[in-house]
Amino acid sequence: MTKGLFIFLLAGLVAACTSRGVIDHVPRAVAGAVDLRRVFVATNRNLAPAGDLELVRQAFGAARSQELRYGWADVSIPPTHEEGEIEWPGGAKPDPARHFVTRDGAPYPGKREFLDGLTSASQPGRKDVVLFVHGFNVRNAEAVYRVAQVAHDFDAKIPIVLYSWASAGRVRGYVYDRDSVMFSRDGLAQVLRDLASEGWRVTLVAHSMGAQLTMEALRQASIAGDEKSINALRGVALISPDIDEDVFVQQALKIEPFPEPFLVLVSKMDSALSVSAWLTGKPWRLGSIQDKTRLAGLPIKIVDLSNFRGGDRRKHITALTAPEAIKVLYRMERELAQQ
Amino acid sequence: MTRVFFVLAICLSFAACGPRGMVSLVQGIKPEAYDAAVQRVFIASNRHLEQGSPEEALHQAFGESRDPVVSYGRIDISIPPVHRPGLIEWPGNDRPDPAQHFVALSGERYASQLAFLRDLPRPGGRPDVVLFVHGFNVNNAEAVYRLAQIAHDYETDDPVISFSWPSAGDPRGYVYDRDSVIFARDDLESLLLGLSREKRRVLIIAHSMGSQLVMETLRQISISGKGRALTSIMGVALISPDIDEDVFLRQSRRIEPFPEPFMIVVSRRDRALGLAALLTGTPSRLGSIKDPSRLAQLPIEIIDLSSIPGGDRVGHSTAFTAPEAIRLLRDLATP
Repeated sequence: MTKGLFIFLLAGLVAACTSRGVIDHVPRAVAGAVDLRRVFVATNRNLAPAGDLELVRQAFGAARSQELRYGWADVSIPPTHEEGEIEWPGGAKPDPARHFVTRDGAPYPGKREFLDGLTSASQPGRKDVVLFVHGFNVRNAEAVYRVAQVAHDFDAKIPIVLYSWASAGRVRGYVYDRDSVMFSRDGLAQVLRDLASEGWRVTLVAHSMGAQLTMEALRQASIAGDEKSINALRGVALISPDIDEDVFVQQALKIEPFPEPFLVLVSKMDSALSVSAWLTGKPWRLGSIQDKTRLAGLPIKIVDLSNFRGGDRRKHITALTAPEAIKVLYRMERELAQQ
Repeated sequence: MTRVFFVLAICLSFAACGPRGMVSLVQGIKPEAYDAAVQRVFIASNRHLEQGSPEEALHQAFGESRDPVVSYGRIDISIPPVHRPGLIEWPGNDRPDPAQHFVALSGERYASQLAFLRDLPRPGGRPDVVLFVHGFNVNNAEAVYRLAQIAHDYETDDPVISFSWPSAGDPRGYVYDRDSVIFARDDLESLLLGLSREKRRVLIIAHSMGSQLVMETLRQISISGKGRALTSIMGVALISPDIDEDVFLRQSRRIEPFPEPFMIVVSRRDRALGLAALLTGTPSRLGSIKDPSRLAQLPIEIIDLSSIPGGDRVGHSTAFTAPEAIRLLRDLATP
């Protein structure tokens, strides 16, 4: 029945074969208009010993922890920052005047301190938070800096929580990451439940494979009868979701009430998703869908970013990297916030 | 953040690079005349069925095999007198011959799940049924013939159901099949709840990636507060399960009550799983687990077939292709 299967994953990095993102700790203040952005982190990655700002160990195949942990990092954004970019030091000496660097950060002793941290980072009485779920092949440092960049470029007035799930942070880790998505559902559902139970209104933003994780967590909250978590959602945005469209519809039909507004940001130009689509023998993934009638009449707003120029080369993160797209989404977000 | 990724999946089939399994319908014969045995297989499938095809052959184009509606049916398979335990005697390119080959004698569709459930026999008044969930890279014909072979070789009188989920039936389809597992959970749940309502006792046997589907389904039944239905399960056997060990432990935690007995049939010589483990950078998958103490918290029995010779060449289906393993497991099953 099962024939022998040999799958060779030959993974080639085309763009940016340089070093991966790491957290550079530069504790001193500098002259010039740096913007300091605090990123809140909930993670089921394997933690490095306390005090290490990197917060996680990244060995391929051993990235998962059974425990959910919490932390924060203050990331400084240089005055030379360009919209949509993360100015990594790369091989250079980390310089706050030119690079993203981490000023400070630490793990929280527990959930209580984490939730209190959100409160003290908010305007008095305001209970709005963004929960961001990163995608495939992302290391903790990369996710933290991306959130800092988004917070800066979108001029976020509310705290952003990063759910940093156990991606291997490797190109050849596609199947590992798919397993990690399954592994990480209970943790994301837990974070959402904790936020909901303290009255936070949550805007859930997920990228790439993180959208799969998000749909799974919402689905399980719903079938478990945890309406409070679903009702806490002020909106959901899936950016370039790496989900099979059949699977998405099946998941969505189990989520009740279906959160609104529910945005799906797609691009026909997304070449990362064309690879996953090709792997599955189908013309597209949800994030590059071209026949929207297949979405079974779900109350979804599709935002097509195919025509936006700039941003990342693969057009897989256009929403967060192309200045023009950032402007459009910024306006959209403000309009939604008024409602 | 997400760098470019190029994934080139090159798939080689070791064993039998010949044609894939197909249902060959041979009508109007008397199996007795050939000294053939007849095994009835019940089918629940959310594959995309070729409508009106008498052979229940399925449209198996890669990428288009899922159907949101479940079909129910049954098929009678004739097993030739020359049959050897562990093998499926496919006609291959020959003319299908009931004296030599597995052939289908007749098939029927049911109008509804209820009609299907009500038609499942109760030999000797027993409520037992065997539910088989196939693995990765299996088409409908293969899922059905394999179950006929297993039921025959294990000499069971109980009705056997093949839950034929939409595997692409293509060695390139690993990720497609992983998506199909997610797609198929609700339909497998519906079947299990139906069997539970009919007061059947279900033995679940899953192979390879089918174990992932079974674990997901048990988990969601439990999470959604229908755990009582899990008491209709009289046992679970995962054969060479293609599940990440961390994921299995997390899934298990959410399954309440945890069905018992719960058997995992493993082999350290399983080369298909060795490959899946390599793909994920982990030392082993659940079905080739090297450190069984990780499962010590769970009421699980591990049956190690590493030392059993014979069976399929990659050692991924030893439990039902190696005659010695079949004897061993059959003795375990009959107290």
